[in-house]
Amino acid sequence: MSPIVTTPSRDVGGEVPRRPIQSAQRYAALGRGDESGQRLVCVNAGFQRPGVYEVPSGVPMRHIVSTLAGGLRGGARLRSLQIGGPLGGFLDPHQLDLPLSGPALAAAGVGLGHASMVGFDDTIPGRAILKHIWRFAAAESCGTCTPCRVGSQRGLELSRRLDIPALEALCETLRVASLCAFGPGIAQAVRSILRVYSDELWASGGSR
Amino acid sequence: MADQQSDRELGPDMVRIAGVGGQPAEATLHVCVDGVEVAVEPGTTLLEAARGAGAFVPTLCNDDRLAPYGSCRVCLVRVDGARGPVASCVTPCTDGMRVSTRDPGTVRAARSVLELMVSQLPERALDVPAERSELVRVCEHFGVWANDFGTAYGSARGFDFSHPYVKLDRDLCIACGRCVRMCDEVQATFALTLASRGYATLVVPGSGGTWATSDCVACGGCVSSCPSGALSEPGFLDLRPVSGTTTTTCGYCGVGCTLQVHTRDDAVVAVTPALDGPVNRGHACVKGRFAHGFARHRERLTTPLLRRGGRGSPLEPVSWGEALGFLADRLGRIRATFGPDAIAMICSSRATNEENYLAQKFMRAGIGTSNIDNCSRLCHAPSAAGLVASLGLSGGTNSMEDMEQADCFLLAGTNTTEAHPVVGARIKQAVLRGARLVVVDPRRIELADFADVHLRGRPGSNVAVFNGLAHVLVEEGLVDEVFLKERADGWDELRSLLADYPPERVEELSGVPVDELRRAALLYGRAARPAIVYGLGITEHMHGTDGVRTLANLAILTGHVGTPQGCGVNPLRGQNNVQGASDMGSLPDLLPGYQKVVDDAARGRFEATWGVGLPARPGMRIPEMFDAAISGRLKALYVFGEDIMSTDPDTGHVQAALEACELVVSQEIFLSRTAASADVVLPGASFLEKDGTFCNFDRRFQRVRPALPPPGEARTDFDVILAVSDALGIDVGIRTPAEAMRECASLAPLYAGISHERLDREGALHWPCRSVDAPGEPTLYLEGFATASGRAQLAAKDYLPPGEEPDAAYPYVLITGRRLEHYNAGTMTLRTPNRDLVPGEWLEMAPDDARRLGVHDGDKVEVISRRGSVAVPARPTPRASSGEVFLSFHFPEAPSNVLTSRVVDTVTSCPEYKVTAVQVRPL
Repeated sequence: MSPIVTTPSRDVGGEVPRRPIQSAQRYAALGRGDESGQRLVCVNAGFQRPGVYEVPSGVPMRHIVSTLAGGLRGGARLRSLQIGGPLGGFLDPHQLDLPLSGPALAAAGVGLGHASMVGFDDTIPGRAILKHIWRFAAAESCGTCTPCRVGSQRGLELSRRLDIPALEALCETLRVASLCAFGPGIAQAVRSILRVYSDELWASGGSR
Repeated sequence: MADQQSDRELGPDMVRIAGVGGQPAEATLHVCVDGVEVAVEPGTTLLEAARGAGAFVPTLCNDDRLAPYGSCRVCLVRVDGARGPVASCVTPCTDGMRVSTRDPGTVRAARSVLELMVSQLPERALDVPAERSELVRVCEHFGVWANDFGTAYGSARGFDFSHPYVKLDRDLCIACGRCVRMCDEVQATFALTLASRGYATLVVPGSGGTWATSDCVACGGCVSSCPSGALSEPGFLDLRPVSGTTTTTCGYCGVGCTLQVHTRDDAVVAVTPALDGPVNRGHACVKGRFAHGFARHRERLTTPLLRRGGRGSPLEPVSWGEALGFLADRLGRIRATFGPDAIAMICSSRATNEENYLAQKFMRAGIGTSNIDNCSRLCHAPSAAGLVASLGLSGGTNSMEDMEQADCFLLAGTNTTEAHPVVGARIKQAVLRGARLVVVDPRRIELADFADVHLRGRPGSNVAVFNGLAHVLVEEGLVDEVFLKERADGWDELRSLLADYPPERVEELSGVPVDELRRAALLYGRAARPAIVYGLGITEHMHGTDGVRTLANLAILTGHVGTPQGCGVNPLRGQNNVQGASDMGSLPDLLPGYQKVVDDAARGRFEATWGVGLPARPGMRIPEMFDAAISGRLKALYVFGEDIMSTDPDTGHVQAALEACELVVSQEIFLSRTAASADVVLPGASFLEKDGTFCNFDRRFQRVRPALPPPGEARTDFDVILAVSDALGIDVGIRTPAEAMRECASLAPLYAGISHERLDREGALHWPCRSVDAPGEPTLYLEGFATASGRAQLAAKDYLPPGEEPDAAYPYVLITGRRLEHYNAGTMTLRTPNRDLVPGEWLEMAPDDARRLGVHDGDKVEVISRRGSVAVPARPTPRASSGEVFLSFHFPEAPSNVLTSRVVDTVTSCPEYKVTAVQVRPL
């Protein structure tokens, strides 16, 4: 379980060479809990030991964040952990004992996605992260279905005004009415930010 | 995540869309919508099931003409057991589904989607009258009138009003993609796309420039589908309500599109395709859809005109009384002095069946002559003769619906996407779905770009090519011997003739390469349900009837006519009522219903009903009328709804004929060149002002209903002919179009079951329709052919050269025909903004010929034949073959019939419009 220095963006890169050598049963025996196999997890440059780690599914995330990656660089305090890409979602540091598993993370309101992680320290305001996610959504929406086509733009505007109830309502529309998974993904990511940064957002003027 | 989503919409137990074609025989499904049980076929969507249950589900991106799309997300419904709302338009029913269209949470979700949509739109989006905006209606349904987002409408994407008919207000676009999909899935022009992404998504013409410079063919499909008013048309930019909507049949080509004419203050506001039109099913083209401005054009004739001072004096407006008095006096005197056969009428393929019936009755029973003909003489007379001889009836063998089932099209001499755009679009769609396509045409027409094989024979070589195709069918064992034995005559004779048409010889005669001929024959011969569709490129030849017969041979040889396997032989009729004018007996040799004048029994029935003796000899055909006028036998020519000075060949000869007549009557809607040469002009009516029926290319009687009154003192042509009869003291015995149809039905067994009342009640009817209980026959000859023997007649016809061939002095072959935006002599379309789309004529010529002559795009050239010359700009294009040039006959300033010859089809006298030897000289 030493760091692998190549950086394929998805886990297949690590698994494929092993498959011919390992039997299916042995591969399936890897991992813990409800998901089997291994995962490649990329941690960003904010950590002391950034890189790609191959870990069994289901390991506690704290194991990756603290043991493998060594926590944030320069002793900075981890304020939130983004997992699974832009639309995966954000976890509070107190949630790091959750296992690296799709069902467990879904239960916590975030998506495993590609399982890679970005650490945010406490110098980055939640509001900036919120706006950033909406900018991403607005830029990446393909524009086919109405909720995402218009909603991604409206979300960006609402996040500038920090209209939290309206954002919540918009997320619900994106979740239930979108054509593909992108709209629900936006809702998932945004809701996780609203959760993790709740106090801060309300304190910094969050209102109707 | 993707899995999760597809799971939600099309759960594993829900995916059961029946495959196209190979649909397994599955049991009916039972679905419960809002407590109402409905039984549906597999593949039915929840939206369709909900409608079937009487529930209203709002939609915006859905159009029944298009495949389900699922993008607008306002048609959400709740399905028991599903994880969330589902878009009903893209969700197939499964057995036992329980659906709610009223579930509060789901309705809330749909409403919030709509609020998002509306938040992007300027307020004027909701100012559009509800009856013209699906968006407004959906907003009314949800009670959405503004948005909750507090975002002032900020974008200003502007307008594209560059096109005369298609007007884009970008800020109203809701990115539903219906316009793009209409262009792709219905019209098959692929001119539009949704550009950009996300919030900026917007329809643009695919070229990226203005609408006017795009590939748009102005079919209007996008406009008719747009739910928000982003795409509109001139008449609907005026938001005032219309005062009436009339459902009628298009008066342009012979496709027979059902149109809805919206009027206000006795003028047309807009014309839209009827979604339930049996032929067009919600589609139309740039002519029927938009070119209606002529109806109230200031040049419409609104009073009779008369040369009071005789020839040489000007035509001046006079009262009906004076015009009719003059006419009655002169016609009466000519009949008294020279006999009834000194009078002839050219009837109109644009007029209704009833007007044609009345006109021929007036001539036969009233004047006492068989000298009546109609302009099908100039287009499909060879089809009538050829199809009657080969198969028995004067009409196409199959319906549009049959043709859509074809797996191979043999298109011969038809530029379908331009001359019959709605059929052209259907064929293109069929080809895109996988049907094979063989195009026989000297020009590289648009459909040739989609063809498996394009046989580009020299003009006039059709018979050689068709015999060559038949030769290969025989050689390859693709002939249906059983069918020939049981249902056809003439096989031995044809087989020995075909021996003389090996592909190598056909290549010499026609220029069609051996391999291509073989490939074409194999495609047609191996297809399961091939359709032959042809046009004037087959008929307008010196041997046009032979062309039709040798083409029909192919269907007979392979058993693809008169059987469920195969889509027969189908002529595309040039004008709205070419079929009907002939059906009604506006022919010198045939009474209504194709009953021979020389058949004493048939004629006797008409004499008995009409109470008068009828001439037992056939009358003159149109070209014979001109000759007779010049030789002095014909004294009076009554020309109804045709501009013979523009559309008949060899204009100089036509002019001489008119000058030789003592009396020329023109019944017209504009002062055409013919009207301008007449002694008296009677103002008639356009199709928008008439009551009656047209009969389209697939023998379908459809109702024509007046949307407007005729302008000024103009009258419907029915009333004009009645007035002329009355003035002559002739009682024609019928006073209304409905009476005319009723009388015709009583005398012509083919139409015995047809009446206005029935058409109004049941919709269109195909002839033969032999009784009021008969459903009509969309597909002919399933029980037997209508020839004397009941068997199809193969025709052994040798190739013969055309009447004119290029030589050293006239080295090019001129082909004449139509362009998409205009129609025949241009009387109608040139008085509409179609003229802005295509303002003038040009000579199509092959790039290598242009190089040889030193001619560049736009250079003016003189086209000279043995009879005259025309100056036009040249346009080098690969659509023209070397040695061949093309002109339309739409523009008075480029009167191509000055050039054409008097060579006619040996059987029917149809002019050889498709082959004229010319020289081209740079100016």
